[in-house]
Amino acid sequence: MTLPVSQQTLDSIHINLFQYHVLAFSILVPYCLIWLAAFYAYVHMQGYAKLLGSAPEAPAFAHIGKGLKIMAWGLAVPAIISVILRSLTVEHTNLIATAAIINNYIALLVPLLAFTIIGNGSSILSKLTKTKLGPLTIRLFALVFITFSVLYTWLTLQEYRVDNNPYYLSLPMIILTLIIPYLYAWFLGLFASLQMAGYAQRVKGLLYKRALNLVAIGIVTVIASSTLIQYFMIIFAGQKDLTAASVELMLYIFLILEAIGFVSISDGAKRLKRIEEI
Amino acid sequence: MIEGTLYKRVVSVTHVYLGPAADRFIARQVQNHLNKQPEDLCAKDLEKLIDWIRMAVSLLTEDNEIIEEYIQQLTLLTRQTDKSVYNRA
Repeated sequence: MTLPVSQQTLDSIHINLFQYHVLAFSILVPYCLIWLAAFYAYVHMQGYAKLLGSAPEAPAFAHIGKGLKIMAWGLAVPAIISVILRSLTVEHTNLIATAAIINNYIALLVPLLAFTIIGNGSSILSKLTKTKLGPLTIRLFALVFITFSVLYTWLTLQEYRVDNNPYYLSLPMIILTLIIPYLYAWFLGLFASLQMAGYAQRVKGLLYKRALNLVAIGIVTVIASSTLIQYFMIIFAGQKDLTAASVELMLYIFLILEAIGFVSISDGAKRLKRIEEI
Repeated sequence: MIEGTLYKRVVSVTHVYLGPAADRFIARQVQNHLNKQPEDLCAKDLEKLIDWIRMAVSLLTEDNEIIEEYIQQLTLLTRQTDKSVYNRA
């Protein structure tokens, strides 16, 4: 909040310094609540995994807990680093390119690690119930993902050409080290969501299923909303005519969705823990 | 024969409600409340075990319909076990 902000940033979203601080504060408060929800979710999930001991599903939930931990820290740490780096560039303009590159790679690292680990967990669960995705689900998933990927690649390349290369990288580097890893991470995350939903549908136990459905719905919501946040941030960056209100509204929608997801995971994990404790 | 598999039958009924947690749940109830090893569960323990299970499950859900259905399934086991003991006698 107290770190300096460049006039260029203010001009790009058509607001003055006072409006910037109001906007930053109004985003910061819900953001802190989401961090809390995310930390709460991973602590409960890891607690549940520990309670399972040597049960066959224990490693799966331990992986999911670890993935959620990375997502929770991934919400806090990159945001703090980004704010510090941006404020540094106000005084030292020669650092703009370095700051942008560091921000982009840190932002990429979080979904790449988190979704890979969550994917490992959901694969174990799928194997346990011998859940196989139906051909219609796979075809629909492929269609949606290909559309999503082509649009993302086109928008990123468009931004590279029109917006004077905001990534400060060469085109091959953008494709190889940003576009492909992002698409890979999103694919893993969305596929893990599908597997998790499949497991929740197939597993037996009325009461167990109720609790697990909350976890599955939460994981699907968190992965989908965090993917959409990353996705739409690229669209935002390319649209010069967007006002602060529309930026704020869009951020709020995704942040609220993510928070709902984390709360649902916490609630489900708490119920699962109770089953193991009584 | 029945007594040897009684624990498995209780777990099998519980599986409908607690899924993969069923085995661990019943083992805990037997160990903590009956002070026995799960494999030592016998017909005369069932009534007491069902009381403990009712209490435990009511802490997991407020859905009385599910609780009553579960307890009814377990009570059926008691009757089957009684009949089996009677037939053998």
